[in-house]
Amino acid sequence: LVSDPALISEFVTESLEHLERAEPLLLEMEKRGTGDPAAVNEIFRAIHSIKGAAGFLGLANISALSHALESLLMRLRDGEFDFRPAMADPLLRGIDALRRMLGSLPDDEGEPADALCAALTALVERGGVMNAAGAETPADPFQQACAEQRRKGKHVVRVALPAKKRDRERLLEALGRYGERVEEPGEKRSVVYASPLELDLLAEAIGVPSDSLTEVRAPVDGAVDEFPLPDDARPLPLYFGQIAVDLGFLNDEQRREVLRAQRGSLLRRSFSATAIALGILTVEQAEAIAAAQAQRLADAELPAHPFEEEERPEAVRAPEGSDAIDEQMSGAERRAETIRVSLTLLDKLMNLAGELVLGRNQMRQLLEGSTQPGVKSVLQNLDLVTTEMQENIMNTRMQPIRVLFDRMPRLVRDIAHRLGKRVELEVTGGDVELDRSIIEALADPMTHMLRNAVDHGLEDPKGRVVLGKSEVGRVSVRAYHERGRVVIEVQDDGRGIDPERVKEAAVQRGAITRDQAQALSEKDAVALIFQPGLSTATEISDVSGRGVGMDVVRTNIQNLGGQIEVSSAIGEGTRLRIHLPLTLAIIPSLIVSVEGERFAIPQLNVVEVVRLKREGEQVERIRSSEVLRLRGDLLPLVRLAQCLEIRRSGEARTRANVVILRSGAHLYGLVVDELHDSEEIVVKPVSTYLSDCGWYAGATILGDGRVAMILDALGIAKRAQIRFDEIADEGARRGEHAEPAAPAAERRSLVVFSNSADERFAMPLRELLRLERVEKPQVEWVGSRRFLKHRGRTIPLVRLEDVLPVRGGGEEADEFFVLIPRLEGLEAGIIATRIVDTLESDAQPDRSQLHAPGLAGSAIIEDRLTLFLDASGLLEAAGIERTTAT
Amino acid sequence: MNATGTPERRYCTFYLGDECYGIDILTVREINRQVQITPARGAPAAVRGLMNLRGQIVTVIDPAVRLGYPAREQKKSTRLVILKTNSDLASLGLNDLSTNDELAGFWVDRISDVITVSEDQIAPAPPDQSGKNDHLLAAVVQLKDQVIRIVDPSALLRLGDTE
Repeated sequence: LVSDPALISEFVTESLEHLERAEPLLLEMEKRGTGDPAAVNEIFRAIHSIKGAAGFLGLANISALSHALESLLMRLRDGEFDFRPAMADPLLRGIDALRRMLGSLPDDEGEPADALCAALTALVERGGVMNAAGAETPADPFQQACAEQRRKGKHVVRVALPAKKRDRERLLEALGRYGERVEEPGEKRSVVYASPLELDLLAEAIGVPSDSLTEVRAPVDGAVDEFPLPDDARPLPLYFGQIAVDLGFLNDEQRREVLRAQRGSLLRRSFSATAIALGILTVEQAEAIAAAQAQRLADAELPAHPFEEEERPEAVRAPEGSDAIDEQMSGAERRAETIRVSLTLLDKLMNLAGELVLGRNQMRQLLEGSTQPGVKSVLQNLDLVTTEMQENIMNTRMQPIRVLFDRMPRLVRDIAHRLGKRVELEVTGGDVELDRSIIEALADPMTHMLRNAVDHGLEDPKGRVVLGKSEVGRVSVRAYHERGRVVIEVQDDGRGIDPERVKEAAVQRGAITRDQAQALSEKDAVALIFQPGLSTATEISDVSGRGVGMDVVRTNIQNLGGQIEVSSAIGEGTRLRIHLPLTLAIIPSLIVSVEGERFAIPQLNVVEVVRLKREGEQVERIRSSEVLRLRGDLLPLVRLAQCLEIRRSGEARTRANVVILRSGAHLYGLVVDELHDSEEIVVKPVSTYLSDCGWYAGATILGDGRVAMILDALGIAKRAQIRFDEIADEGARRGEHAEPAAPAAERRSLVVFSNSADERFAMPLRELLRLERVEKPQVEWVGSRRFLKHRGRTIPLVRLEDVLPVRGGGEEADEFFVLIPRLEGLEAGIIATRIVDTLESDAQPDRSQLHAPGLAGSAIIEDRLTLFLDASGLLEAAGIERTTAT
Repeated sequence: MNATGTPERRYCTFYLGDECYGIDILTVREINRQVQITPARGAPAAVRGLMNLRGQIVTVIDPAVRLGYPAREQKKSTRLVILKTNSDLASLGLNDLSTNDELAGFWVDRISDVITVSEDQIAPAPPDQSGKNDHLLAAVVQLKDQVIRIVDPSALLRLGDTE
């Protein structure tokens, strides 16, 4: 045994590449249903190389399996056997087993694949004929014919033949009227017929005792029914009598009666004619049945079910098909012009290039003032070469995304097989290049998204037909460039995501409140699938759908500096779009510092930067936490120095900079001393000594050669223990506690509230008597009106959408607010779902834009269109009169 | 091998405070006087920070903190002993030595001589009074005038077990 680790590792890399080349060719042949000599040859050569090297290295198990695979492939190559789609399966399993064995090297070869080897050998010995008994191999022609008949909805029945020739002939003649013979080579004592009639009916029809017939069932563990159709996908009956029963024109007894009459009749009358003659069916009914039959027969002409293997006619071998395979072949040849370089070497080169850039910068600083002739042009040249070199070294890490996309057809095939679905996968954009580490990190999320698309996205074949879609679901995977980033799309034409169901699931899981759910737009609701623990799959399948998934996908994508978004239309499908940076290694970042210590924050997380002139002005407190009031929102504040326990020198600062960061769905402000430039930084993985912290996303080397830590927005928020919920609640509550400010000449205090996400209302605070937080049980209905029980009184309530042409809100929520206007002799409340803010504004309502009873006008407040309410007009329009106060 | 045929080992010695320690020179990659270290806030106490070694980031560990000494300020004599990584050692065939999977360095107060000692001068480390740091020392070397404690770099770098 040769145990040189370098040799072994080279063997593993090479073999995996061979397998990677062989697999798509095999899949392509399976899809087309025909062998392709060039492809077979290529697969053969791949396996042959593995076998040779494995033998040299003394890897017995790999050698044995590749030998078994090779024997089959050799016969296919030499034309001894014809390729059949069912052969793809054992070959693919062989490739999987080889991969598994290669994966456990260099330690050992893993378990031998004895069963698979035996099956392959047996297949070769049988002359390539698939056999139902062999676990690996599909049915012989007889079993196939039976399967075909069963697929058409017929009963396959074995009938014992009588000894006398005359009896035999009469029986066969009778059978010929009720069914179609399935030829079974070598069988003399019985015949097999496929008939639309159930066993007992057939016995009755041909006049033999029913126990002389036996149903021919599919072999239990054979390949014929290896992928049984789901119950609802069984074909509809195709025979007249059965359709008549299906449609409710006949019951079973009547059908038997017709069949008996048919048998007794000397004239070979059709079922319909017999039934009409018997007066069991009317002519109209018979016509309706015939129409249904015609339709079903037409439907049955749909392409064969993918799980039933069958020979395709030669004509299917489309010329572009062989082109596709040719193309892959020439791709294989192109690859031969490259050499393999270890990644560590590339990383080292990249580091050195970074150092060179650093050296150049230092030199430039030193020589800046130099008057020596020629220095300037030398420096410029150095500049150019260095930059170009760095770029090119970066490019060495780029790989076409094809290496990932090539795995997708196999994945989709396997999932579709398991779920009994038909899927056509379209992959485009394999040439788009991405940093190798990004491609590696994409494998899991992509797998997950494709599983979701096939499992949850696509309906089952029958369901699709009912919906008027093609039985074959379409899934497409695309990659392309867009504005300097790479976009990857996974799209299906399945059932889509129902925003209401996602909302419901999210509310039940407690991920959001019912209030929040109501305020969500459809797009935002669909995006809830990225919340942890949410799945709208009604049932859990073994393929996907345990409620963990899309949140992990999103986290993975975000870790790559990417974003993911979903769009969906019910009944039309779902599209997931991922935006990725070209390379992981370099990201634009904002450099900040505290006490002279510099930190990098990825620009992706930075929403904006706010300079505080006087802290007291915008910073408030909610319990122990500091918050920043920014355009009406309360944002939690984190002081970086405090958070990272950096000791303060000198007295407290009066000025500060706040970087507003996005952490998941929340925003918060990070208080730092100084803001520096934005720099393109090279991200180095975070040291294992620091990875436990969780608030560093990595480290980087800045332009001056010093190391700086990269802050992780989510990690910092966690470390600071920001209580986003509490602050949001308090923000809402502030409306209640806000004191009516002394009205300035122009400015007045406004309460801004909203019932839906996109409509805002305002009322001057001084026009309000009270603002109450109300719980649902406090509301009573009298007729169609709502009343609030409050301090022993009953106050009529008004919903804005009942009076004004605005969107509905939600007093269905468990808690909401009631604004009680200050009006003479009238006490009534206006329902508000959410108090947005109380603020000072000099905005004056403008009546020219929007005009309705109950509206005082509109104004732009905080960049949002806000409707001013006219309380007395509103209550009047709602039919609440001054004297009705009870 | 020396003239008498006894196997020899070479140690790089350094000071932590007033105590002299040694480290197998085969595990040392280089000794660096550049001590521009970026502190890593929130990291374990023994992590002094990160430094840039020609484009690679080195985690700087303070062995003194691991051995129970109080933290010291940076001095003019302060040096960084940058260690080979495990894969460096493996590629050199030094399979009986181990350090760490990623680049790390020791912050030491002063570098002293490289000593060559024969195997018979090397003794197992005596138990520490507290017994806490026993596993951090690989051996002691008895010289004429002093005892040098030889550290086990991989144990010193494994922070999880005491902190």
